[in-house]
Amino acid sequence: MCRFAPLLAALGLLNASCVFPLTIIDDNAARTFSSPAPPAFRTTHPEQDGARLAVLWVGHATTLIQLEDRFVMTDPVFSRSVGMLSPRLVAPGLAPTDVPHLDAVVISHMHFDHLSLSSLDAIESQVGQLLVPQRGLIYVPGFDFPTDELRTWRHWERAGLRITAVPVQHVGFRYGADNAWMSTSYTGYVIQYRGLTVYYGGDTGYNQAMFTETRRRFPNIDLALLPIAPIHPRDFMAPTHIDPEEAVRCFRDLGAKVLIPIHFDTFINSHDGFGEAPRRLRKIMRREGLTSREVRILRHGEQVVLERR
Amino acid sequence: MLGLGLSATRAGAANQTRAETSDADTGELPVTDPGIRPTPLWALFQLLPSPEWTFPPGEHYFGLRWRVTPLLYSYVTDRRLSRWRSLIAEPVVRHGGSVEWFVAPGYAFGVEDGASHFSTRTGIRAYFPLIERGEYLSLSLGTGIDYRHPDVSPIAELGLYSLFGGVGIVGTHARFGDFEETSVRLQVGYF
Repeated sequence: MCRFAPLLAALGLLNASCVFPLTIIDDNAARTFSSPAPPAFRTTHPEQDGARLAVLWVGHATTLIQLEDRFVMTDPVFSRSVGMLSPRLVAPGLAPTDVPHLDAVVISHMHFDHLSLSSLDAIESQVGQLLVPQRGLIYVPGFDFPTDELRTWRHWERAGLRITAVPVQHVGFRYGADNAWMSTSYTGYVIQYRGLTVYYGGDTGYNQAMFTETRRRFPNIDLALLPIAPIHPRDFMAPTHIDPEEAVRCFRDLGAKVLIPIHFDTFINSHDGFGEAPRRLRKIMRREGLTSREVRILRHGEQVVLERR
Repeated sequence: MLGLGLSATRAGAANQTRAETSDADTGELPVTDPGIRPTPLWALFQLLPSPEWTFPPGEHYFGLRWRVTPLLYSYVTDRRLSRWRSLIAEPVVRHGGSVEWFVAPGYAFGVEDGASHFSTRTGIRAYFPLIERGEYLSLSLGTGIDYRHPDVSPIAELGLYSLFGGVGIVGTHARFGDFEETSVRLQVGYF
């Protein structure tokens, strides 16, 4: 870190500090100024003929979900860094120019690694509808596509595609001081189309009551997209971020058929070592007898067809 | 995970366990104004002055300047929400594209004997986003007056801001009677 320490410290302090301790930057200083690694897969034609349910993990919380002839993208982030200070470790597995027409894009909350304004700019012409949590509209100014807020348990529906906001446990601020009033601007989503049900957890701490209530209302979840990181420092992260073990508990609470982990190994945002979260998840899978058909750990850019027509 | 703030504010992880009843689909989804309000944290940051160096002919002196925004109009905010702000303006609201009435009191050190240490600028300033809807980089153009007892000068200014408006460089040009002066300010601001 060394020679960049004063610079980074000054930037952090000038910006009223960052939500992640500066030690996190310090730990990852060697990677802070390096280029992102190429993704394991780079998909250029993500439309899967004959797929009923397919998922492409672009990286971090960005996924492209195909439900038959409908496409939904979660928290699109294609930028080289987030929040100016957190660099990307692995390049996106899908270029913005290769993104198909999106019937809907969902934003789970306002943090920079979930709401990237330049990324929305990059796919603006492909977006049919943007959905944000309650009070989130103020942070997506001036785009051409229609944007609506979804309060918890409210839904948006068009041509059979229904998206419902479901509760998660997180925080809604973007800049810090706005935490005082951005108290409801975080959510998960349940996406339904022609008998398919997909749960997207965004960022969440473990809250069994929320997950079981979601299961009560949506008893047939085919797929749960759940974060498994950041893990460390655990005391700091636990209220707002599930780790791999909690993700498996959440997966059971939801009663989902398949779990695809997200939100790991893409940006520097914790003390986690690269690859630590999926390694821990595999260990838990072995311990709990979960198969690789139930938990599909994708690599950056990898696409999986979960159900065919 | 990544937002900017002083802490993860675990208390802010207020849960949403209270399940709202599922409303009927009424067609139009409601939107909610953010309900911004002054907080102790915000107030604390407003007390932080921005350092300013002024260069009248043949000399220079150092000063401090504060920023107050009595009124701001955002021309990019969704029309279903209020486009007006007073005192507090979120970075994307201010730097994403807005016009504001500003008041900027200042204190100068090392001015000539008999000259006033205090000055106040007021005027209109427009912000234009350059990168990331202004969060990463924005530009401002402003005009107004600088009152330094007993003189009043017209001013013009140009600013460039980064880090969500947290830091910026603002140049101001003023003409007091027979002489002109230029000042450069390292603008430090949080909301």
